[in-house]
Amino acid sequence: MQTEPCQTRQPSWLRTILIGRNPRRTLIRIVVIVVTCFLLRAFVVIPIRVSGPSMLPTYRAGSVNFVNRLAYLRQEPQRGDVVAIRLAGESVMFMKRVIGLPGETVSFSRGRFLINGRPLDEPYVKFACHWDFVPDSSKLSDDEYYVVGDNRTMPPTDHTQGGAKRERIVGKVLR
Amino acid sequence: MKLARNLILIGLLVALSVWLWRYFHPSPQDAIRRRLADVARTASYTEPGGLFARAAKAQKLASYFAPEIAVRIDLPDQTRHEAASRDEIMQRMLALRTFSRSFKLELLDPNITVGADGKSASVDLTLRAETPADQYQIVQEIKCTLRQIDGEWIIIRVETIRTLNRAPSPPRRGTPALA
Repeated sequence: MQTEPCQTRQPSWLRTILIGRNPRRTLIRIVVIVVTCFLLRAFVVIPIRVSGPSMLPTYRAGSVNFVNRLAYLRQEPQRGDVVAIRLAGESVMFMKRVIGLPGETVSFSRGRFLINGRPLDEPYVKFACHWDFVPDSSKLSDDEYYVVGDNRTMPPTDHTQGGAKRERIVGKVLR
Repeated sequence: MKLARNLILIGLLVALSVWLWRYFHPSPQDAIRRRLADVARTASYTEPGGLFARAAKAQKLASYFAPEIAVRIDLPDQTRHEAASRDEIMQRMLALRTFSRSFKLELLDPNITVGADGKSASVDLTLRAETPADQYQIVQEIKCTLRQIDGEWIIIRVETIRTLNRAPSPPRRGTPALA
């Protein structure tokens, strides 16, 4: 009397690649990854694609970066931070550098940014700037930050800049 | 097993009924969102089209606005665009189709506040307009005021919201390209 060994069917290589040897474990992994990505996107980081030349040379048009939503939970925006500023929502945001803090009097003179009349050292500005103007009502209010791009080669009126209310600052752009 | 199947079936039927009810009886917010999507879709085009098609589209776009409208938009490029009637909007739209081969309008992130009477509403949104062929893009936050007339939400006023204050203000250039 002969007995044949019981043959167990091995899963095909394609199935192993697609769903792994243990489909239940693979499903759990997928759910964990999706939930983690969703939570990260909703509460921690926002992916952004840079458009326009105003932050050159620090950020180039077309590059992808992330905004840290949690950066200003425990502290306020600091001078030199690159921040994302929302418009009506977060589908489109301005990406600018904070150079003036609440309560300060700001102006541009001979291409240099003045805070309460004193020039600010800005190593991130690499291109020549010839701006010379005092913004409307140049003293910032208690919840207002002066924001501007790093590329100031164009006339100041062609460059989106100005005082941003604190509530509009969504987070800090990660480098 | 049969009970579970029946419960799932009933759940699906309830969800379908709710969806159908909301589709045919939208809340003011949903109706306004749909209306804004229609405006953006009607204003956008990938090719200028023939004379009749242009006129039809422009007329349809104008129908979303009140006969006497107050449009005043100050764009970041320091141009101001004003319109006071449907006819002006039609003319601007026709002119735009003459000058630009393609145009894309998006009305993003609408924050809708419906008035206490349920017949008026105010919407803050981000307008993004671009002419892909010319690689020209405008982003501006605006406020639209709408009124419900004969069951339709009609735009009666459009104005600019300044996202950033205290920007330098030069003398204005008047180049009305779009409303």
